[in-house]
Amino acid sequence: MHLMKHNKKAGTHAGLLRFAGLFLVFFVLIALIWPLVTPVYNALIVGIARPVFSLVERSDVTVVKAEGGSIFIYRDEPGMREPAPFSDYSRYVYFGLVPLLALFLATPNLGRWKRAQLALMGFALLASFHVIYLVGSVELTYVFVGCSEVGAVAYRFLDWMQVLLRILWEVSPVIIWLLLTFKYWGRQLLGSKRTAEPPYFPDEIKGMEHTI
Amino acid sequence: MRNKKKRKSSGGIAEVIFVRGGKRFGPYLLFLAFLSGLAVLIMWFMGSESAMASLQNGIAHVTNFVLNLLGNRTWVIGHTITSSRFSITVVTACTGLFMTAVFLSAVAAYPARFIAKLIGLALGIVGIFTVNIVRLVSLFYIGVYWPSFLDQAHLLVWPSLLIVFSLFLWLFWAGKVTHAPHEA
Repeated sequence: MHLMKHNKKAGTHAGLLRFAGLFLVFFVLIALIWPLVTPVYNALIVGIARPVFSLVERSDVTVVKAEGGSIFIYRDEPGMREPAPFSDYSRYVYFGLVPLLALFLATPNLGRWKRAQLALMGFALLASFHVIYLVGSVELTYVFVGCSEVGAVAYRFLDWMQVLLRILWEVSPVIIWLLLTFKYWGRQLLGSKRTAEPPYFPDEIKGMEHTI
Repeated sequence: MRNKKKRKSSGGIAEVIFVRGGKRFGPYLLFLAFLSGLAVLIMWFMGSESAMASLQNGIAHVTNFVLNLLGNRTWVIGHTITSSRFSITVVTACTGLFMTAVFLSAVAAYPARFIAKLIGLALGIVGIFTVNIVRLVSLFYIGVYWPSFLDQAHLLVWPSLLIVFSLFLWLFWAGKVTHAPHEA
């Protein structure tokens, strides 16, 4: 019994090391092609962010331009001859793509199709988060440099939001990956005592998925 | 028998969302709640100039100590580690504060004994601090010997490695906690 426990532990550690090793290999490979992909990804994010900016702004003052992997933000206020440069983001704002894809590729216990399916979902979630981050950080900067006026309470709340957004930007790849894949590797790497996964659908609605 | 079954599912969609959904997403929600709480603490910490400056100075001094130990002639001015060849400044994002907050939230949200959680917190703080010092030392060397790679190392490689290191550290801790013998 003691030996079994020891073996299980050793297996868990070996699994973790293998996962870490595979992650590093995929990380290096993806990092090498990442500069080639970022201009396309940047154009996609900026293309989606434009209508979102119009949606959240009353006076529609933000002009976003994608140039290669960089994003340039301009403010187009009434009375100005042309939009004034406001801020810019380098391609490294999208660094999360590399660890996210490397994590999906290194994840144990996934078949090819499932891996591709989950990686695609993860990619879509991270892209959505990047749009939120871009719009959110620009709008928050407007508040903190005095371009948008808010009350004292709202100011404190937005200050907190800024910190939270900054943290989430950094860890979004890991959170997205955990959300999508935990049930496939959790038992192997953590050695959960549970014998079965909780059902995705409760018994009462199992089999009714196609009736809607 | 049927009645029993009916009674069991009387919660309907509310049961699906709150009971089953709570079981499935509970740990994630707990994690977000801890993270939000820690974000308030960080905001307060960042607002206190002296506290933030002490942390940045402390990290700069430890990095400087390691660099001198490795044979470099560096010194600290404020929270900048400087030499005749290259300088690095420890700013808020370089303190590892955000990553530590995420790790602590993940440890707090994971179902484990109080002592195990304390060990996890200590492991996270020491582990992330150590890796952050390695990061700063390596960035100094990259700045001196391979400056063209500095941006990539600073803004792509190290942020990724730091979050993934935190993930593996958490997995290692959670694995240990899950395998730990329990008293009945």
